[in-house]
Formats: sequence, structure tokens, C-alpha cells
Amino acid sequence: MSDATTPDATMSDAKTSSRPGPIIELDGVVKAYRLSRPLGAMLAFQPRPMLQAVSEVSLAIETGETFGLVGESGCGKSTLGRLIVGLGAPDRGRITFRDQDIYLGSRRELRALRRQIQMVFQDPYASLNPRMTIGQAIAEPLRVHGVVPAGEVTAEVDRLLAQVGLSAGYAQRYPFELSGGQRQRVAIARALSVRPAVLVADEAVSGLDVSIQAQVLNLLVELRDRLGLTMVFISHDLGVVEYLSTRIAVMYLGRILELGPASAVFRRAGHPYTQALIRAIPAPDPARKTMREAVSGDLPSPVNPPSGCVFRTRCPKAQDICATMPPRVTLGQGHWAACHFANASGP
Amino acid sequence: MTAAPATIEANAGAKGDAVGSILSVQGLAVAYRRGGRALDVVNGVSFDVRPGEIFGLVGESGSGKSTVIRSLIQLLPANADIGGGTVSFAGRDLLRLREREMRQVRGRDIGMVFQDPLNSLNPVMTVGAQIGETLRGAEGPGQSRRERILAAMRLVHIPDPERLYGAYPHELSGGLRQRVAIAIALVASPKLLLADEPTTALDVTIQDQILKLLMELSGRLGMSVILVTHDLGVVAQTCQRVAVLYAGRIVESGPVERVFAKPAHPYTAGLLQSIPRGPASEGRLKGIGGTPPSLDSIPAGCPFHPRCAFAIEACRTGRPPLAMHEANHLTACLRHGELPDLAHV
Repeated sequence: MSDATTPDATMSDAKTSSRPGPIIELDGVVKAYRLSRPLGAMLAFQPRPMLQAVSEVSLAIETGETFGLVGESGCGKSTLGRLIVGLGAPDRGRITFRDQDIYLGSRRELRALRRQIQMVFQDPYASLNPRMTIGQAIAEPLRVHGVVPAGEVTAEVDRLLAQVGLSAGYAQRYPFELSGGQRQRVAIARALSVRPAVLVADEAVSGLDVSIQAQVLNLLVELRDRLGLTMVFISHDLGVVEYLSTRIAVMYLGRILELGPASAVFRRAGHPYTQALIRAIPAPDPARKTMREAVSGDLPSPVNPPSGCVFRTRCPKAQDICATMPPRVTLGQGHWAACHFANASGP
Repeated sequence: MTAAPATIEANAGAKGDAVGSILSVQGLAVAYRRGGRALDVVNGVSFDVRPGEIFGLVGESGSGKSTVIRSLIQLLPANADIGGGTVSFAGRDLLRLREREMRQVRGRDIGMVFQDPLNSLNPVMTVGAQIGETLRGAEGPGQSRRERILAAMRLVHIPDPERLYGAYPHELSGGLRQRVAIAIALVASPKLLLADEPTTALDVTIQDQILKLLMELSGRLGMSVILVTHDLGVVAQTCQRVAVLYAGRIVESGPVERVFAKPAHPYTAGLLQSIPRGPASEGRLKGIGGTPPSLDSIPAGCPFHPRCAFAIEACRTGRPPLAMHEANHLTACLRHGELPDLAHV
């Protein structure tokens, strides 16, 4: 069975001209944050500790695919998402959109380029201006980027609202009058207003109740297929990542430990961490008891990550060799795991 | 798979003071005063908890699940009024206890664990001292106080308890903090543990560890647990019985196997069909249309009827009682006898 053909299957649904090949490429991307230090350390002129949120990440996101980025808190997935939309330059490495570096160029060039990559965040309440009506919030990017002539803005707002399943009447309302699910629909409408090629969704359904989450997930599937969007879907929830994604990357302490077609990663996870993550999901089925021996211990300090394989301090398979950098072991077409003992045994 | 024969038990149904239950809630009603109005948050909730079982209370935000569990031990916000009902525990009605009496029950007879351990722990008190606080006045003979505290820390598998005895909460990881919170809840050997979303703030691998710990402790100590959660997966893996709340009412309750395999209320079925179980290309989520009602506009009749595909005229007017569907399996759906197999609709 070849899983490598799955991205093509979804791309054929897409209406717009999906140019084959990668739309976004990351090459050796590193992003570190300088942390504050206690007063004592400051007086002793100790350097501020560095937290490497993203370490040496290289990957290519194909046109039209939904790329899932999964991991637990502090793994760097949100930092990576922000780098992809142009929020905060990487310390090393480069990120390109259609072969153009998204951090190099004139302001005008960068603005045009970044319009192509939009983001939806977890908490739409924090990302919507409370003193602007929904209509004003959606009209703002339309005006700034001159997406439609000034006389057509109102009609375009109504069209965008309809596209996310909200009636035109919502244009007059304020964010506080909306439920969490409705606010997230507005955030999606606003992101899509500038007609981007790529939508980065960072925990976009995580704050929602499960019945509302299902509605928003289906909306994202529908919009993606209709508009031919490339999506980067970031979440801690493996279930929703599996639902949407064609390919998945698993992150831990700033590194990608495994990457491959979604079905391959779920059925034949090669990295012990991926296997543990999958085992730890409580299955909504009492007849199928999951949650057996997932993984012990806590996340090590990201300021001082383990050498070699960053997962080795919690890994049941760890040996001495794991203190050295693990190779990328190919497990199938487009599927690899960074582990000395990677094998395709299921979870 | 053929269904296992339904087990008939003596205390089937929602009758009060059932033999063999450690806690019995009958007709609990709670309202919040807001802007001069009284909003019904919990309305006629009844359930029993059996010795040694983990009982799940599941619902979405605003369903009243946290209000139910907090009213059991009178830990409600100041604008909440208990409008009626009884909570029978060890021969007493907890709703009628004075604060002084309630303080004896909390911690000693009924332990509590909440969602965010960082907020429920005292930041300026060491781990050992906080665990010991619950013991005040409850010290038994034999073991010294310190020994009992260390034993509680070992019970919840806190590594190196001698060292962490003197640690402060901020020095611990989220998972360890929740273990400390559980040790505080368990040190006085309560018969019942109330756990309100105890793993919601934790990563999935840590959630897995904490849930296993709760199951182990419930089994080892014969302690009952009421587990409040929004996560049906957590219920399926840890609970023996479950009650599903919607708009402040129990809409379905029963053994977890029955409720998940053959849901008898369209809301439960909708919740189960909202959980992703594979790629969208293999089938879209059915989900539930519409949104849950806000507290100030709960629909008349069955509160779920505006979102229900099976609603008929009677659902708009009559409030459906929680009625027997099968042995031990109750549903508040007027049409439960005539619905199709909801798990496969």
C-alpha cells in the first residue's frame, strides 16, 4: 500500500490552480528566546539563559495539502507557525513562499507576500477588537489591502460571512455578543478576506466544545476543498490533526521527531514518542481500553534539553547511543523518524 | 458484537437513598443571581454514586457540571442559591450542614481536586505543609504526621518524596502539582473524591499518567470518584457509569458501555458523533447543529429540542422526565422507545 499518493487525492478536489510542488519551504530554521534571569544571576553578570523554541527545522509544505503540526505544550509548534506567517524572524535558516524568502525584501514586497499567508489563533476573543463590529473587523483588511473597490466592501463582508455560515446580520454585532464558535468563524472569515493561498490555524478549535468543534472542523474542510487552500494545522489534539491533515509532523522540544503521510504516522508510527502520544489518547470507546503505559516522567527543561535525541530521558527504548544525534530513518515513502531504533511497529 | 445481557441490580433507577450508594443526589436545583434575575444553572439533577466506582459527569461548557459538583460540598460562588434537593452522604443531608460542619466533611470525608493545580495550591507553603493541612484534627494514632504526609506522597507516586516535601509549587511541573493536589485530597483517606476536570490543563501524556493514578487509587483504596469532564474519551477509559448533562439537566445516565454503544438520547449520540475518529476523507463528522442555549434563554420543553433531529411537537412543550430506558440506563427523551439506533444514524 502506498500512502504517498494521498496528498494528490485531495489536491484534485481543489478548484484553483494548484501548482505542483512546495508552496512553503523551511530550511534549517532556528528560533531562540532569551529568558529573564533572577536578580542574583543578573548581579553576577551571568548570561541570560536561552530557550531554543525551534531547532534546525527543515520541511516543505506542498501546494494544496493540509500539513498537521502536532505536539505537547512547549514543543515549539506555535513558534514555528508564527515564523511561517512572518511573525518574528528566525535566528538562522530561511523560510520561503514560492521560492521567495518571506523575511527578505522591501516592505512593499513583504506586505504583498505575507498577505498570501494568513493565520487563525486559538482565542478569537483576544484577536478581535472588542470595540469594532464584526463587519468593521472583516472590512478592515479588505480596505488595507484593497481587495475589492471601496463601494463593494459591504457586499464582500456579507459574502465572507455567508462563506463561514453566518448571516449578514452578524456584521452589526460586537464580538462579545457571539459564542466562541461564532467568533472563530469570524476569525476565519477575516483571515480569508485577503484571499490567501495558505492558512495557518494554531489551535483554532481547541477552546471550543466538542459539538461546536465538529462544526468548525467541517467548515475548515469545506473551505479548504472549495478554495484550494494550503493549510498548516497546528494542534495538541491528535484526533483533530488526523481528521484534517494529509501529512503530519510530530514535534518535541523544538525538533521534528517524525514526519510522514497522516495515515502512515497513525498506523505505523516509527518514533517511540509518536507511539506514546497515540497510546495516550483516551479512545471514546469503553470496549477499547487504550492508555496503556504511554510514557513516564515529565518534559525536561527546554532551556537545557538532553543531548542527542531530546526524547531519550523519557523513552522506554533509550540506550547509550541515544546521547548522539539520531539519524532520520526512512520508514516508507515520505515517512521518516529521527530515532536510532525507529521501526514501523504500530502503537 | 452482540450486546452483553443487561445486569439487573437492586438499586436500579433514580430513587433516593438507594441501598449500596455512598452518595445520593435528589432533585438538586441551583440558580445564579445575575442582574436582578435568577438563572437556573442546575435543574432537578438526581444521581447515585456507588462505593468504589468512578462516576462520570460529562457535559459541555455551561451544562452545569461544575456547579453540581461544587454544590455537593457548598463551594459555590456568592451569587449562587441552592433552590432545592437533597445530597445524602453518610446519613446526612450535606445541603443542610452549617459551614462549620461542612468544613469537617470537606477534606476528611470528601476530597477535592480541581482543574488548575497552580491555582488551588498555596504558592508560599511547602508541599509537605500543604498536604499536612488537611490532616489537622484528623491525625490518627501510630504514624507520625510526617510519615502520613510522606505516605500520601508515595501513594500518588511523587518521586523522591523526602526531597520534594520541602519544595514549593512553582518548582514542580504541572503533572507533579496535580499529584500534590491529589495527595492533599487523599491524605485523610476520604470515601469520596470530587475531581473537576483534573486533567484538562495537562498534556496528553501527563493526563494519561494522572488518570491511571486516579483509577489505581480508586481500586486500591475502594474510594468512589465523581469525575467531571468534557472529554468523552476520558469517561470511556476511566468511568463505570456516566451521567450526561445538558442545560443543567441530566439527559442520560447509565453504565458507560451501554451509553457509548447504544446512546438513548439524541444529544449523547450527537456528542459521540462530534469526536474525530479518522480522516475527514473517510467520513465527515456529524456533529450537532446550532449552539447550546444560554442560561437566560433555556428553551421550554426538552432543552435540546431546537437542535434535535428527532424533535416532535410534544418535545417543545412537555419537559421529559429521566425515565428508564433499559435496566440501569435512563434517558430524558420522550421518544426514546421509538428512536432508531442512534449510534449509527
